[in-house]
Amino acid sequence: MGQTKTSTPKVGAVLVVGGGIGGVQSALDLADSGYKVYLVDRAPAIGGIMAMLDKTFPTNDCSMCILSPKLVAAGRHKDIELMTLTEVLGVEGEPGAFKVRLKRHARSVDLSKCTGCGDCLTKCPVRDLPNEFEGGLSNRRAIYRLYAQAVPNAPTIDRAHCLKFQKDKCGACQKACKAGAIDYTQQDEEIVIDVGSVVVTAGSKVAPTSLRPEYGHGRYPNVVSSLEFERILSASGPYSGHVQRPSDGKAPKKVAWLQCVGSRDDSVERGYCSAMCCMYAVKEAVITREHSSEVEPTVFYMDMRSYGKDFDKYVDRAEQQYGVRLVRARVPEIREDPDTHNLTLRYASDAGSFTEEFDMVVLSCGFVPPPELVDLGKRLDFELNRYGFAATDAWAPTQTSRAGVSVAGSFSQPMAIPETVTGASGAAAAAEEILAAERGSMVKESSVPTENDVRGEAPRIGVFVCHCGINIGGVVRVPEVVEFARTLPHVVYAEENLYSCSGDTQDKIKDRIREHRLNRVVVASCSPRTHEPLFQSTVAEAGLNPHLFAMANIRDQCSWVHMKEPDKATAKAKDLVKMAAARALRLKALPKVKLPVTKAGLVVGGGIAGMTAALALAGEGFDAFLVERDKELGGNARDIPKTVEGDDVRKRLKDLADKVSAHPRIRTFFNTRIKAIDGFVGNYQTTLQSEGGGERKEESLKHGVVVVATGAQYRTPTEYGYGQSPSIVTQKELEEMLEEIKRPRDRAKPGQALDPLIPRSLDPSSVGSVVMIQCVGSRDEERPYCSRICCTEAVKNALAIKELNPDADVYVLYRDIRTYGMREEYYRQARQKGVVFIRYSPQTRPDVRIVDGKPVVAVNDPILGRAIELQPDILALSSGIVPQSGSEELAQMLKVPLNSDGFFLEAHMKLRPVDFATEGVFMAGLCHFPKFIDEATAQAQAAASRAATVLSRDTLEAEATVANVDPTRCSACHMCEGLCAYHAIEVKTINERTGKQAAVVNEALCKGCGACAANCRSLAIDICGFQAENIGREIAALLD
Amino acid sequence: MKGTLKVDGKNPEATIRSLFARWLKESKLSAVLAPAYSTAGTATVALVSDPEKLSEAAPLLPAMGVNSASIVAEIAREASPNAKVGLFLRPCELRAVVELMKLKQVAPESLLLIGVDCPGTYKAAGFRNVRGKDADFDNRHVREQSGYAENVNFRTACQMCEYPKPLVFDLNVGFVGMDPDKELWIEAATDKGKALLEGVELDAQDEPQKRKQALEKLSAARKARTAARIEELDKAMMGPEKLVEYFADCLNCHNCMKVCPVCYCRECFFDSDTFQRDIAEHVRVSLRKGATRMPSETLLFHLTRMNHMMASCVQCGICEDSCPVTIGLATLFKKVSQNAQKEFDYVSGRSLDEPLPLVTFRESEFLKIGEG
Repeated sequence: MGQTKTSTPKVGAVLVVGGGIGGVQSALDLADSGYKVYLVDRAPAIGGIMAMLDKTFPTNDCSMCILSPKLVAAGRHKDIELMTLTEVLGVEGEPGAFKVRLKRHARSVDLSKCTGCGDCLTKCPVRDLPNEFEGGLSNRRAIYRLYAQAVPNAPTIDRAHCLKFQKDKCGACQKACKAGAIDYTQQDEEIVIDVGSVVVTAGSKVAPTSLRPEYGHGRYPNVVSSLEFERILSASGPYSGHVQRPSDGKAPKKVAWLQCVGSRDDSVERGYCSAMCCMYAVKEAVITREHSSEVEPTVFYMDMRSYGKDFDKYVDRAEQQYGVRLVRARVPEIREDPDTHNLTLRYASDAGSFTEEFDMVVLSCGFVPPPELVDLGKRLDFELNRYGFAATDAWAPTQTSRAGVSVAGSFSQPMAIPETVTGASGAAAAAEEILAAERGSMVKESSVPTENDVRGEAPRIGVFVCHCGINIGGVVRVPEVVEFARTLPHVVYAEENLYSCSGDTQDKIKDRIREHRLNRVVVASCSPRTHEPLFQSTVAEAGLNPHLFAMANIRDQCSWVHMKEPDKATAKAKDLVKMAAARALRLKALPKVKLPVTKAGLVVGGGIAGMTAALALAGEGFDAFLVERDKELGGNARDIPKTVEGDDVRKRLKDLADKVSAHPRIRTFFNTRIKAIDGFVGNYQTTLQSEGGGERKEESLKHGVVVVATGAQYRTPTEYGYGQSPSIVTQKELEEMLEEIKRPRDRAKPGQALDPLIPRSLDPSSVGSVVMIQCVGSRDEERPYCSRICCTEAVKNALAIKELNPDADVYVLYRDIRTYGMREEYYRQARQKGVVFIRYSPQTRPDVRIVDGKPVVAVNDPILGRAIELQPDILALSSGIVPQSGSEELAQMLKVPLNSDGFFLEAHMKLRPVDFATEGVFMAGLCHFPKFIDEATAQAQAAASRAATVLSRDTLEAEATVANVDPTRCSACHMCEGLCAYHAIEVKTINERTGKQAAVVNEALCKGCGACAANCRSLAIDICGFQAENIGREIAALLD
Repeated sequence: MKGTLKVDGKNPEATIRSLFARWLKESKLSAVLAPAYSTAGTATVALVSDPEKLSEAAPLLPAMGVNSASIVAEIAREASPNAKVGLFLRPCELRAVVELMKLKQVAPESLLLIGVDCPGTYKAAGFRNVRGKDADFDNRHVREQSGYAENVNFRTACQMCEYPKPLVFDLNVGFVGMDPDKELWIEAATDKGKALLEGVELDAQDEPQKRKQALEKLSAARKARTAARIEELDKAMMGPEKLVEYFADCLNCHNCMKVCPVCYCRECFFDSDTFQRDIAEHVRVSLRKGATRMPSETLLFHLTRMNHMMASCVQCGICEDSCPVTIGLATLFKKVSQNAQKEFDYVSGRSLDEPLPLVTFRESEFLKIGEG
């Protein structure tokens, strides 16, 4: 991979196309690993669809709350250049050296001057334009910000509707802008950039509701799309989070969700399943109930596709705890009562035909690549599939047909956030493999001057009070606050700024620090969440330690919330400044702790995920140790002859293993187990124990990261008569049998015994009828999760049987068919070829008897409405996947958690799908959850990309705001150990002679969250920069 | 292993002493920590290692001056391979030892937990006068208390105690619901406890129904009494002004903290110089209100102690006994710790395996405090 010979020198920069969560993840991974990134988006701000969502399943996290920090990080990153309102025109060249032509549309706002204060937004007289971000449910002006937390935060002028551009009058925004940022003269421009690789994360769009005109979206006001409904739920949405009907603003009581709009529908050429709609609909139903317990939500669905980690539990909770009604029915049409705008649904379910009236209907729209993205694909010159998604291969799921151009997210196929984030990291790894040698060649060196040592100096505090345009200055009397600040102890300088955050003010603050020999700085302005890092780097550039800075939030917590009370707001602003000054007085410079990094990764497990991760790490230029407890590589995939798409798994597996053994940077250990792992991110030391030739050997390795890729295992069924008849087999065994039949006789190896239970004399004509039972040992009380792959396995085998013998009767007894994504195509084929699918429920499980050594299956057919009996030649059980043996041991060694089902638990289900909460440890493949080869491969690449953000550094800089233990106070009660989510604090013997024990903080792992400090009864723990004493003095200052 | 042990000469205390003697002679224990009378006849605690000196120990002495868990914390912070100390302790003392073990302030390896039933104790101060010249006082007390006989002269905390029988022990000696002149109830809960009973003649049987009923009756009566006391307390204490009043007499002596068995910090934050202010600052604070109460920060001290101790407090009430100005700490800590522990479904000292409330969490806890 990436070994293309090229005459032109390679470029250590990457173009990322599309600034949704996928693009942001790719950009951050790449920039954190030493590459310059151009992050391009057509929209005026990054954020994509995720920015529009209210909450996310299955954790019900607020979408914006978890996304926003990533957007801010991307916006602030020294090596990420945001290029919004920008389109890609074309890419020329070859991997390593592409020339990209871009068109940058005029924003009419100068990003270098705009501070995002928003003063202009209220002055624009054009106020009735439909707000596209809010699904047209509210209006915006001609100058607008895409959404409140937009990055960049600068507004955009919609020239098509701006009076200045249309009629050459107005100019109100320019007058309102005190920063002088409005620039009507900006022109669209074409630019060319050099990059070494391209990552496409352009996303997809919600399927247009026009695909189902009979649902009346656009005609009936109370029929909304799912994305519109997300905005209705959102506190920042058009109705400020009050769930109400667009027609009359009344709170709806009965709300219906209709699934598969623009999905699983060949009639509109959208045959695939959009993979996430079942879950988002159930989530929306749950959240609606959380808004009001009066609401009666109903979801009309075909199959409940809750195939992900903890998804089934979520759906169960929705039904049982939240009273969400799930009805298996496809609704053919909606009628509206023109007077009440209520909606009548007619549908047929197992229980009969019904007519039911609803107050509101939400259409669960699928995802499609819109024409502009199809067009983008053409401009970038890679292949698209028949639906217009980027065509990829299961074994290289992030690789487009064009070398050097990778793809991730829903532009390759519909996928939810975790898969998008995983793919995005994986695509970043693919880009890094091309540019391993160029790492670090184009990044900015941060030029921070030597720090002045201010110890022993009398405190000299400078206070800068911000007007924030009129945001603060319009309410708080800023000059009065400045005067007051001058009277505070040790304040030697105070001034007011129009915008403290603007570039010229930053320079001014630096000058003032030098002129007045300031050794503490207070800025009274907005939120430290968004602006503290900026001011900290400013004071650092003036030679002050960044922790000699304190901030007072006199905007969000003062002028904004006391808009109508200027006197009180001014008094409060003074108090806040007084408190900040009191804190500043006692601030101490905090040193930066640097820790070395061993540039090698340990990969545990040599299946597809482990091999891919090791190859990706090696491709990125790092050493990889691949540890396999078996005697050969391959893992579970060795037992899979073919994928449903028809890939020869064994051949691909051999290719992969050959690449691994040939790679000079990979060292593989067979018959080897992990005995012990010590250390922490960047600095692990692992003891391996190998067995071979009757000997036990131990070896110690040093490495900087760990990738857990230990896989999972097939479960051996205990039910439905398995083991009691040679005709009862697992799906895996059935697949082996079918392969055996297809294999030419002369190539069948004599003596290579299959499982003795399998009837070896099987020939195609004897396979007259096959029954398959799904969810055997999955989705039950003991294992309340879906094993994700079994439906597709069953469909694959059913198709293979039909291929061998088109007259064979194949029955699949299922609960929900979960052939999500493009796999739906094979489900459709199976039905077309006459495979019979019979649904059962947990209450009507099939019954298997054995008569004369052969299985007899009784099941209730819900369509016929009666019990039927089948006497198949073969009964195949789709037995699920269970966690790998030894997972608990490994989890304990790594101090990482397992979930209640026994799979490894990621740091965050949505946004950190391959990371553990413990830094430097990552996961890939089935150890995380059952998944397909393409998903495991993408996750393995992602783990390598995440690993590169650590391994690409020479040193790790520990956080300065870490916990600090006073050992003389510590009682060694171990409470802090149990509380620390990062395993960063541990009680140790600190004096061998006296045996004195005390808690010791590992600064590399500590995040400064303060859980330990808050719970330390002996008050032996403080957080640097947030000492209890300082906070006490700050409060005292307020009370004085 | 459980059963009854025959009592000789209507002297249960002597019977227990002979058990001690056997264990010391057989080297099953290297010493026993047990209540004892001083030469002056006051209630104290002794660590006895010589079987000949066992007459010093008075295992059934019904008075409490310290919670012996404090002594255990002092002597058994670390384990020693050479020491096997039998702790002959009351239920509240054992519960405190369990909490200290969980807080890693006591190393369990060198210790055997030998419990004894305790329906209530007198304050150690003044106990000499209660006892008078009665040499058989301890046995008489046990006789009286083997059925439920409420005694208003018991310590406040004892009158509210619902745990007359230890919760965690290797071995327990019981007399509630028994006829202690004839037999004691012996129960070994662990292998360590069973080893002690080797060679001891027990009439093995299930716990007598009568004993179970007596224990239940006692617990129920105490719970009812506790509820009534807390109701009274609420009237006296609820509300910020009343709370200040409740602690108004506090001298800031910190005795309550010093005698608390589970208050385990090496140095109390409130004894450190953190709260020391210079005179200028004191005057500044005084200027703000015109006058400030001195000593200052007494309420903050009590609130902090409550906050720190409520999860592990064993409600032994020794804090109240040590208060020179008799602030009603026993009932207050009973209320606060009982309520707090209920929230976490936790009982201090109930089990060595239950994690301490603050180091663990359940996904569904405190829903009513959370969002929405």
